[in-house]
Amino acid sequence: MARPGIIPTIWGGLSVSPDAGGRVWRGLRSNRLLLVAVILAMVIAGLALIVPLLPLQDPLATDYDHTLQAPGKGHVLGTDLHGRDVLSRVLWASRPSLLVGVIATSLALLAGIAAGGLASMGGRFTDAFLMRVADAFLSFPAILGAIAIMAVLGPGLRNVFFAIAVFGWPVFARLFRSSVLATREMDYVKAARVLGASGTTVFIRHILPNSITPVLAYTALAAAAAILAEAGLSFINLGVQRPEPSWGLMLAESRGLFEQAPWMAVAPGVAVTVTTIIFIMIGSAVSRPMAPVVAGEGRSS
Amino acid sequence: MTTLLFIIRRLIQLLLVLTGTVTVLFVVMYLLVPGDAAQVALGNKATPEALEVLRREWGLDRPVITQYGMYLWRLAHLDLGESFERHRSVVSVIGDHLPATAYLAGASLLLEAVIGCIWGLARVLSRRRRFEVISLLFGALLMAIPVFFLGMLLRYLFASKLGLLPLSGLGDWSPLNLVLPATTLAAAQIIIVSMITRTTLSAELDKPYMMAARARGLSRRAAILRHGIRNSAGPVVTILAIDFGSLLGGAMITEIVFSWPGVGRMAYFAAQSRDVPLVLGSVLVLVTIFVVINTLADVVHGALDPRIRSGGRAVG
Repeated sequence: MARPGIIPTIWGGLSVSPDAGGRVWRGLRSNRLLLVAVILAMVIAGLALIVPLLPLQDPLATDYDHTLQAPGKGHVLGTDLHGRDVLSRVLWASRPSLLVGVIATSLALLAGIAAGGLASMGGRFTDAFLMRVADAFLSFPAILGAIAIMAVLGPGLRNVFFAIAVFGWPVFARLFRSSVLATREMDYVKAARVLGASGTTVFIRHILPNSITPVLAYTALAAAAAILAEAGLSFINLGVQRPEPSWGLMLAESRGLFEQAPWMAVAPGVAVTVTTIIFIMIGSAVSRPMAPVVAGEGRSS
Repeated sequence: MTTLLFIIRRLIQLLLVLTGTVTVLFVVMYLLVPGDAAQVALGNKATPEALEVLRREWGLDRPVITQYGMYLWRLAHLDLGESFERHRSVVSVIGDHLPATAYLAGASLLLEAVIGCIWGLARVLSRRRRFEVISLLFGALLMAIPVFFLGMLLRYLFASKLGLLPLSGLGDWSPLNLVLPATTLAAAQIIIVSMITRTTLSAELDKPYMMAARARGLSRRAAILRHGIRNSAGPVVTILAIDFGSLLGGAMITEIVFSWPGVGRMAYFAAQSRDVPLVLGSVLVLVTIFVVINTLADVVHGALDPRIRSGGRAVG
């Protein structure tokens, strides 16, 4: 598994520009790759939503007369060691995966916005304290931390959300903070202040909407990292538990059977790789990595 | 900010992270086995007398604060306790497995440095759009493919099908055994090194000294090779140094896939058998190595490059 920290370190190099929203739209129209990626993401999300309605076999139903069957009639992607239908399991497994992508990322996003907002609008001490804490989290090996958290809290999807979000929020906090600091110096913000708007009004009406786009742009990359992390945790038995289907868990179950039944590994492996690539493509197209962000830049004077 | 202040700030941060880690691990240990590490260690059949003796010996009958103090005292003497399962000191068990992990991480680092830098350089030298697009797509693939899936594919292709390389294990430390796991571990990092190389080199291209070199009649390629590379080495070296630490910690899954007898795989099995001191000890050792290398890289880079000092952290 790629460590959850990987993607943030390289793709996190966002340039903070208040125009990110416009860029997304222009990018969508001009960048066919992005358009394709967005459509594919919608297809995957749609599939995950309608899985229960599809004419699939029960992903948990075992059939010990037809174990390790090659792809063919009856089982389009073959069966696994317990005779369960691989196609059905791969499709059902998209649910926990996307769920982690959405929920863990949302948790990290909310915590990051809260911390980043507090750091940028609070006093000097609050700022320094929160940013040092964020630095501490960033300099901690995320995958080890996630494994330790899972080992303590016990396996299960709910703890996966938490374990991933714990290491996801600092990037959001840093992005949001520097974005707010940049927006705060804009003329229209100063104008609003001169016209007598209160601090809260200025923040909610003028600063927040204009500084949140680069943060939102990063969510696609964070989701990619979260999906990979879930697969990894499930692979080492710390995430989704048997017999529920999960891509990481399915790959774990295929260990040692690759020569006999390669479909058992290839189907979930391709599924998780393609899903992650789609999110990486969206994320990188939306947030155009530019100069690496130098974290911890001083408050603009 | 002066160099000294910068170093002090980084050292304080290092201490902060380590103290935080140590404290959290202690709390975890305390909560996981509330007062009864002795029970876990001796099993269900232990006599009350034996439990009492062990409890007193480990200080489990004292207040939490005292226990925390004793824990720190033992840590200061490099005593991480005893493995429940193996009945050996945690430090010696980790010591047995650390060389294999370091061997794997070192080879991966070499691989990612060489391939990543060459790839990044090629991306700057070649100005063809198609090469850049292919690089980005292939890079996205490298980032997206889970380590364990890549490991399985490589194993199948090069070990089972072609029979070129050993399937798994450390063997007698032969480099042949190293090829597949090191490639698997390095894959996702290669694209990152290539990105950093490309970004920093491209940034150098617009600098006045580059224009001066071009004005003297050097070709673009010659100017990059002769002047650009040297001036953009800093960030690349930093990212590589930081990566070594994360390779050590991130090797767990690769080690599991390739049955590589490293610390990560050992900690994984320890977690399965709920050998708490061994798991927490391994996490502590790996985190410490990671954070110390990270800090060293930052300090060295910061001492060399004033821009980093004023900015805070290095790339990433």
